[in-house]
Amino acid sequence: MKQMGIVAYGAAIPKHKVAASTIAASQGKDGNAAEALGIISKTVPRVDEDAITLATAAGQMATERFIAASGELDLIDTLFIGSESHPYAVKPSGTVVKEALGLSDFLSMADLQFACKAGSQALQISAAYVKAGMARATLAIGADTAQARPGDALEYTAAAGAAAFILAADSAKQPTLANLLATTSVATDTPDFWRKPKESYPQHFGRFTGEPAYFKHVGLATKRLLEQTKLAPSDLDYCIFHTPNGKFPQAVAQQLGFSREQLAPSLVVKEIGNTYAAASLLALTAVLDIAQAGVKILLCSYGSGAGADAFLFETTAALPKAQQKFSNQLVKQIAALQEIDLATYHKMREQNAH
Amino acid sequence: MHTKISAQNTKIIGYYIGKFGELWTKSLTDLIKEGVAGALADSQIDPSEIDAIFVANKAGGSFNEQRHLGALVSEQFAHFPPAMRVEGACASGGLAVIAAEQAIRSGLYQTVLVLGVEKMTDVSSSETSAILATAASRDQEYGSTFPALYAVLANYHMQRYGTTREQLSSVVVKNHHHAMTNPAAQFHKEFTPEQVSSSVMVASPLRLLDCSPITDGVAAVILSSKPSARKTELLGFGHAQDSLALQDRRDLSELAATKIAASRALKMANLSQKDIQAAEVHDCFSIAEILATEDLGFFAKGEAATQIAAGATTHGGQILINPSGGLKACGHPVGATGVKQVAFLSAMIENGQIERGLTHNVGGSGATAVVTILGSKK
Amino acid sequence: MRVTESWRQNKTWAKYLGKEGVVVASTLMEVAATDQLAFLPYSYLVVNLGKEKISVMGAAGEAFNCGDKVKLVLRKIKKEAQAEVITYGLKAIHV
Repeated sequence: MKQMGIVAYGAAIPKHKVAASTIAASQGKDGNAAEALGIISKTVPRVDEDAITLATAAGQMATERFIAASGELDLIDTLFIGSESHPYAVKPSGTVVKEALGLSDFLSMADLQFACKAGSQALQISAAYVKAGMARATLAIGADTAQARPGDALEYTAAAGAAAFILAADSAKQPTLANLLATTSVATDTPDFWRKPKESYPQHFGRFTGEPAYFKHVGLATKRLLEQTKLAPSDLDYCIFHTPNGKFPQAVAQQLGFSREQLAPSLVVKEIGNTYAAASLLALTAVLDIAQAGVKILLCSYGSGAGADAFLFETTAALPKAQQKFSNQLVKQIAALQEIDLATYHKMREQNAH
Repeated sequence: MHTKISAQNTKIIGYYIGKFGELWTKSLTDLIKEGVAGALADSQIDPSEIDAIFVANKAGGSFNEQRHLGALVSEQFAHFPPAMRVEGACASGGLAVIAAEQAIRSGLYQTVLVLGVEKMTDVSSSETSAILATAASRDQEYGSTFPALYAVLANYHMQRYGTTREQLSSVVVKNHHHAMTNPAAQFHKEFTPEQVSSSVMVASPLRLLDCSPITDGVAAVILSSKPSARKTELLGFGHAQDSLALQDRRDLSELAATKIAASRALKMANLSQKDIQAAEVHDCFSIAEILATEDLGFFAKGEAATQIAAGATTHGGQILINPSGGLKACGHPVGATGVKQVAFLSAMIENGQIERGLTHNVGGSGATAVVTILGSKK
Repeated sequence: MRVTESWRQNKTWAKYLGKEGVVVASTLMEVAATDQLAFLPYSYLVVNLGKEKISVMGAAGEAFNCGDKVKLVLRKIKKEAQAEVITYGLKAIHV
C-alpha cells in the first residue's frame, strides 16, 4: 500500500482547571507534592460531561476538518475508543459517539481498556484496518474523565480530555497530514495500577509504578521502534511520551537520549494534568499543530498493567496548509481554561463522584 | 364560521367556586362532589335537568392516578348524564366551557354542567414540576420547566420593551390586593413590591412570588339555553392554537393564540375591548399577565407593564384585570381555573358590578388560548 | 426520559452537533424537575441557528446572555439513577 496516516484530528478538554496548589490546600498539604510531580494545574469536567461527551467533542472537531478536506463521513468504517472511564461496564461508549457524529451504521466498533494506552492502541488498530485494506477511513479516540480518591497523590494529576484521529491512505483528494512509518507495542503482566469493576477509584502500588512499569515499557517499545526503523533519537524532530505527571516524560526522554527541545511542545500535561487514555494523543495534537512539513515524530504511550505503544510519524506538506485553517487548537483551549477555587473544586468533585 | 344557530345566547344559570388552597383533607372525589353540589345549589335546578357534563382537568392521571373523570362526575347524578373530560393543559377549563357551549348550540343538549377540578398536593414538588412540564413539548423542550419557558418570554419582553423587575412585581402586588376581597382565594396576604422582587429565584428573572402556586380546587358552572331569570349570557367565545414549543413561535414578544382567540370572541359578541369592564386573564406568571393584557388588545404591545404599574388595571383604572386575584393570588388548580374565571365574572355580572366581562385561559406556554365574553343584555 | 424515547432522540443529534447559533432568549434556572436537579443552576435557551430555532439546556456551569454566540455539543441531559441508562442530548456552550 502507499503511504497512510492521519488525515484529520481533534482535541477536546473541559473548560475548567484547578491549580495544583488548590488541591494541596484541599489535602491540607503544602505545594511540594505538586512541584515534585511537575504539574501546575489539571482539567476538571462538569457534572454533565463524561468520557463519551469529551470523545464526541474531539471526534466532532476531527470529522469537521475531515469533511472540510473533502472527506465523507460514510467512508469511516471503524471506530475504536480507548478509556479507563467508559461510563458503562457493558454497553459501548463508541455507539453513542457514532450516533452523535452521524457515522454510517456499517461500522466496526469496540471500546478498549488498557489504562493510559487504550487510546494509542485504538490508533494502532485503526492503522491496521487501513493498511489491510479493510477500511477506507478509521476513527480512533482516546478519552477519559479520570477519577482519583480525594487525598490520594493521584488527585493532583487525574484529569479529563479526549483526542481523536482519522486515518486513511494518502490520496490526491485527501492527502495525509502525517504518515505512519512504523509502530510497535509491548505488553507484560505488571500490576502497578488497577481497578475492579465495583470500585470507584484505582489502586496503585507506589514507586513500583516507576522503574519496573513506566520506564521499563516505554524504554522497551521506544528502543525496539528505533531499531526497526534504524533511527537514532537525534534523527527525530519531536518525541512524545506518556505523561502520568510532568516529570516522568522528561526523565525517560533523557534516559533514551532525547533533548529537552524535542520533548517540549508535547508537555501539555503541566496545565491539563494526566488525561489518561487521551494523554499521549492530546500531546500528539499539540505537536501536529505546530510542526512543519517533513518532520519525524516519535510517540510512545504507556498503559499500566502494563504495556506501551510506539509510533513513528512523518509530517507532510499538507500539514502546514491545513494548520492555517485550524481553529480551537489545544493550545487555545488551554489558554481559555478558567480556574476554579477550592469551594468550587469540592462541589465539582462531589458532583463528579461515582 | 362563528355565527350563532339560535337567536338566544346561552346563559350561565349557576356557578360555584370552592375554596382554593392546599386542601389536605379533600380528595379529588371530594372536590368533585363539592363542585356538583355547589353549582346545583346556586342554580336551584333539579339535578335531573343536567343533560350532559364536561369535566376540565389537566393531570388527574398523574397527580391522582385517576383518569375516566367523565364517569366520576356523571355518577354523582342518579340519571348518569353523558360526560367527557376535556384537556388542554392549563386551558382545560376554558376549553370545557366552550365545548359545553358547542354542545348546546348543536341542539343536542339544553342544560350542561361544566366542572373544573385539580388535586395537586398529593405529590412532591419536583414530581409536580415534571407533571406541569408535560404542557410543553417533550421532544423539543426537555430539560425546561414551566417557569423556565415563561422566564424566557420575560427576558425577551424585558430586552425588547424595557419591562422592569419592578413592573413584574406590580402585577403580583395588585393581584394579591384583589384577592383580599375574594373569600375563595388561596391567599389573603398582601405583598410589597420589594418582597416580590427579593423572593427566591426560580428561573431568572422570575422569582417565587412571580409564579402561581400549587393549588387544590374546584369550580363549576351550569350553562343553559332554556329561558332563565339569570342575567349572565355567553356573548361569544374564541379558541386558537399556536406551536407547542417556543422555538417555533413567530414572535416571542406575544402569544399569538391569545390575539386570535380574543379577536374571534369579540367578533362573535360584536363588541370591542372598550366594552369590557373586567377581565380574568391567565397570569400563571407575572409576565403572563403583561403579555395577556397586550395580546388581548387592552394595551399596545410593550406598554402594559407601565400601565399596570400605574394602576390602570385595578379598581378605578382603565380596566379591572383579575378581580379574583388571578392565578397568582386566587390560586391555580389547573383544570379548575378556566371555569373559575367564568364563575367569578358571572357572579360580578349577576351582582350588577359589571355588565361585560372577558375570560382568558391559556394552555402551556401559549399553544392553546380560549377567550369568552360574558355579559348581560340591557 | 425513558430508554426508547432517548433512543429515538439520538437519531437527531448528528443533524445539530457542532452547529453554531445566537441566543435569542434565555433564563437561568434554579428550580428543576427531578431529572435535572443535579445540574442546577443551569440555563435554558432559545437559539437561532439561522434556518431554524432550537430550544436547549445550557451546558452545566455556563451562563448566557441574549446575543451570545453558542455551539451545540453532546452532554448528559439527565442525572440518571445508578441502574438507568445514561441519557445524552444537545446542549449549548459558548463559542
